[in-house]
Amino acid sequence: MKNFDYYVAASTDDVRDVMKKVKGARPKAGGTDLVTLMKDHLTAPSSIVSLDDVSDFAGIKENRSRGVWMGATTTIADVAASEVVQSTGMAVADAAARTGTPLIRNKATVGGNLCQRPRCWYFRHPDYPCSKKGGETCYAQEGENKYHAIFENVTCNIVHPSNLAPALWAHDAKVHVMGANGRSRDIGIDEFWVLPEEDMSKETVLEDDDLVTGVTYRRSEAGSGSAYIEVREKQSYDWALTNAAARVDLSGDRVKDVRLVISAVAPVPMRREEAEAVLRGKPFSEELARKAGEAAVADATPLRDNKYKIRMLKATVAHTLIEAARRAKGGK
Amino acid sequence: MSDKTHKLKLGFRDDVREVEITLPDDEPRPFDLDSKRDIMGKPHQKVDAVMKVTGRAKYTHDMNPTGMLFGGFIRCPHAKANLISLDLEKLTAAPGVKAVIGAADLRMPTEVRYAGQPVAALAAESRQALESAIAGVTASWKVLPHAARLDQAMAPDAPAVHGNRGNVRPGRDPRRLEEVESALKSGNLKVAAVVARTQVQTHSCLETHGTCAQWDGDQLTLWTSTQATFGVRSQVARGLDIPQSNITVISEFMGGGFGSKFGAGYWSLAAALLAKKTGKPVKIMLDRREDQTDTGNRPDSIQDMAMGVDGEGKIAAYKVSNTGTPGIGRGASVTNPMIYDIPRDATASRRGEVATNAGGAQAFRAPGHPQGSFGLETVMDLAAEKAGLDPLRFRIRNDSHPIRQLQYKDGADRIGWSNRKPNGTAEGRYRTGYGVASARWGGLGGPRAEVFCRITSDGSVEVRNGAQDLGVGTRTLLAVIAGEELGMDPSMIKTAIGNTNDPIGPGSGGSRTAGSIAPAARQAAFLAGRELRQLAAKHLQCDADDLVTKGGKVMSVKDSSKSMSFKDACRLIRQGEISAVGKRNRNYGNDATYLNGVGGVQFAKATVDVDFGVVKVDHIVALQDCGLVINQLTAEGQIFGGVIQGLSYALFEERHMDRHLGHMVNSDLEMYKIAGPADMPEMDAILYDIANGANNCSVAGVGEPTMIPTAAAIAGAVHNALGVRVTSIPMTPDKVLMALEEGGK
Repeated sequence: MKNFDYYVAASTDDVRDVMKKVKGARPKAGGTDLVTLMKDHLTAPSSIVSLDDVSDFAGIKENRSRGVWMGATTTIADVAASEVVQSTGMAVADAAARTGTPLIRNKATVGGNLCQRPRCWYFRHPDYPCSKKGGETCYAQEGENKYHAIFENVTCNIVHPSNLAPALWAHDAKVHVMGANGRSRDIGIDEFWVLPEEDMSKETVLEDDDLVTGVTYRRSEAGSGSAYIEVREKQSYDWALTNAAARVDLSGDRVKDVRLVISAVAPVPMRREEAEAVLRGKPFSEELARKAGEAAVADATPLRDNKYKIRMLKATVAHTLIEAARRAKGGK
Repeated sequence: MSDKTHKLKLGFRDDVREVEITLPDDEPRPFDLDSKRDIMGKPHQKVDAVMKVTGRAKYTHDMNPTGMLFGGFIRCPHAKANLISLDLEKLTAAPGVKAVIGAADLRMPTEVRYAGQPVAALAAESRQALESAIAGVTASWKVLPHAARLDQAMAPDAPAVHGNRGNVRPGRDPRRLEEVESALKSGNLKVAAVVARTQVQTHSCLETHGTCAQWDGDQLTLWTSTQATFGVRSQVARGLDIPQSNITVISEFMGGGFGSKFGAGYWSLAAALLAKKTGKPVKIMLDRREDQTDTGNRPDSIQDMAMGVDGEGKIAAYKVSNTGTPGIGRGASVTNPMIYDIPRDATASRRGEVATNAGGAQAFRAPGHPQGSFGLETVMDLAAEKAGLDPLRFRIRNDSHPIRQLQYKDGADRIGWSNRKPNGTAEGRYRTGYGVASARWGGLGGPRAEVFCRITSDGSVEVRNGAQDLGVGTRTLLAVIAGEELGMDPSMIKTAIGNTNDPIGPGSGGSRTAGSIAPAARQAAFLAGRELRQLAAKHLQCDADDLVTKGGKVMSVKDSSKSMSFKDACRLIRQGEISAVGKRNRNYGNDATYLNGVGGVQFAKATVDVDFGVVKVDHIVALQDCGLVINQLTAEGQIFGGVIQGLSYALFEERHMDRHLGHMVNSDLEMYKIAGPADMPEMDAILYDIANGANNCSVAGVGEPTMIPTAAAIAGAVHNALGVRVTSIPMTPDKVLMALEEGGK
């Protein structure tokens, strides 16, 4: 790791000031990803701006129009423990509770979780000049690809690492972003991600000087339930092999609306509208949820060592839908 | 010196053997089943526990002598290459670099045979300067085709790892092969055949390998994370061609070894040379990637087995062919067969090896055994199934070990074996099963070990040995044994460990440390205590033989008026202190010894989520003989540690080698997955006090046997739950789902 200057911003204005004046300054919230990127020699910022003391970026608030705002520097632990999130965004609370370890959850933040970089072992290894680092080869394509993508895996086989992303998408979230000019804008979470084919160097639409300030998700109303489930090898500190987040809005037994988002299986989280269509307008049943699972994997293109993810993802989707529907019916 | 004859009761509750043994009178009466021990065998907190949890315990990583430089290595980024040129001058001139040593002076080959092999060392004034210099190095390589993976190395036209030799060394044709094969084919036996596979496991010590070297004139001090302080001293002396008496090796605290920290390591030699060259202390601690790739590992294995069972449920024929991968090293042997009563004249076993372009194997907690256990117990379970026998009953029928016979019974009760359903009859998403597997080990220890004990006139007691404590409680063992012998609370006794200026002790391997040091510690405290009792006897006007040191007193067992406090007795010491050196004599030998090793059995209960393929271990019951227990807490700690490492081996850990450039791609502790708190099962450690009669403490080490059967027991539980066998570890969800699919489930 190289030496760097360290700024502690006291306010939003401070952050903007430093980012403007200090070339190449990188914002740091929890630092749980940034520091590992620095240790893996993937980035070497000359300056770091700490957001720890910027209070307007932290907190969880319900607003009038069916929205729940979570500040970018709200810790994952606070999200998991929030009664507001547990009652209005159950999938988000599930995803937060399954993230990292207690130590990571106490430091890592909502903004950082969405912006973290992939864990691909070729990307993270200093001796592999892979396509994501500007090289010519995706070593995972023919190489050791047990943990890699089964969708959208043409040029780069990373999988998206954020737990919160699919859960927030299931709640139709918006990401609030402050640009270099200080102006804020909202980006729908469905438009937040970038595929490797579009831009190999990054995973989100953010520009270098953009800063995520928070997210707002749509609250579950009566008759609506959501859930997030991930499968992983270890139960302590591991990354998802497959995950899914679902929101099911019921009218009686009938599925009025549904969102199904899968992740850890492609470079970006993916909404699965074909699978949603299996359920929409029909009385919910476990059998239907399993059919939705089949539909969710129909276009998978697995690699040599990750075919297992198909069977696993089917089950992940089915169980997530079943749990969301159970909660929609008032189950705790 | 006269000899003394002792009558001893050896064995354990179900099997008591009386023996007579004659020993020199400087040896205390050996502990046996009749010995009443006040302190040994009870639970004692580690004497250094508070130092460890408060951070006051200083490890090699913590050593920062004034003016210290940071050392590191230039490593090859290719899995097979020859070094053409390396610009050492440019490297020396890099900002902050103070010294560079090339391959020749380090006696390192420049023909690189695995990715990450070192070819030069350097020291710089900061970690940052070191990393920048390494990143900016100019080297040119002739890159050669490699075979970093087992499948690559075994391919018909594989590049040769070593010269022109073939990578596959199939091993000698076994004797009796034809007879065994014809017995298996005869139709008279129920036969199970299977190929089991185990992975490469890395030691993953929490404290990486490394050394801090400091010269003072011609005197060299090495702080190092080692499991053999005296071994490091002799190796470095040889490497530098200086007298051993000029070297002090210190390892007061170290963060895990598991077999990978026996040698001094090239880092010790490099640190000493760089320190000499610069006149400043130099510390080299490997980073995690270096540690994962270049400090050893447990070889993988392919075990091709067929077992035949006769009508009595006895094993009647066994054929096994083992292959393992020691990387560029040697020694990948798999211990299979072992344990069970498999008739030797009906066994044909072959041991082969495959060379790969990967870091060489090192000893690892019970070398050869956990992998052999997984293979053997796999075919045992399948053979039991073929023979229509419960797997526990099958083992009881084929194991004559007296202690394990008891352990099978006790363990079955504790785990609830009677709840076990026939294989594959569990239903629903979550399916629970039960498994059992066995272990054996030696671990009795032996010479050479000496312990120094000192009683000073103010009543303080000190016990010292120069070997290391791997974190398992060796330091505490010294205090417990001296406490038992002198009638003092162990926390009152000062201990010193891990410095070669103190008396010699063993390298910590083969579970020999406790067995080697304990009898010497007991003799040292016995001799010092005897001298004190002689002084007290004069003062109390009684016979020294009637005096005991107990509960802070020196008192007569015959006359309660003849008693004084331990402290008052110490005031009788004229010349400041009494001191004694206890020596580790040879084990008493077969006539006097009940058993020459230990037995263990483990039971597992596990639940499989058949939708996700995830295995959760619910409960492990580990039953373990370790002779007479010294410290219940640390003995149980050893068992829990072995079980956890075995569980981690069963479900998670695996080195992944890349087929393209030949690096270990998961050379970290994130994608090299190790069990964490949420993966822990309920664990029961059941100890047996076995008076083995091997030495004056009847102790046996327990570091290794406790890891041997865990993975196999869990695999048995998964088999029972699913009705299909996962024949390869780690049993990750992909393999579980594949086994279900292949089994049509």
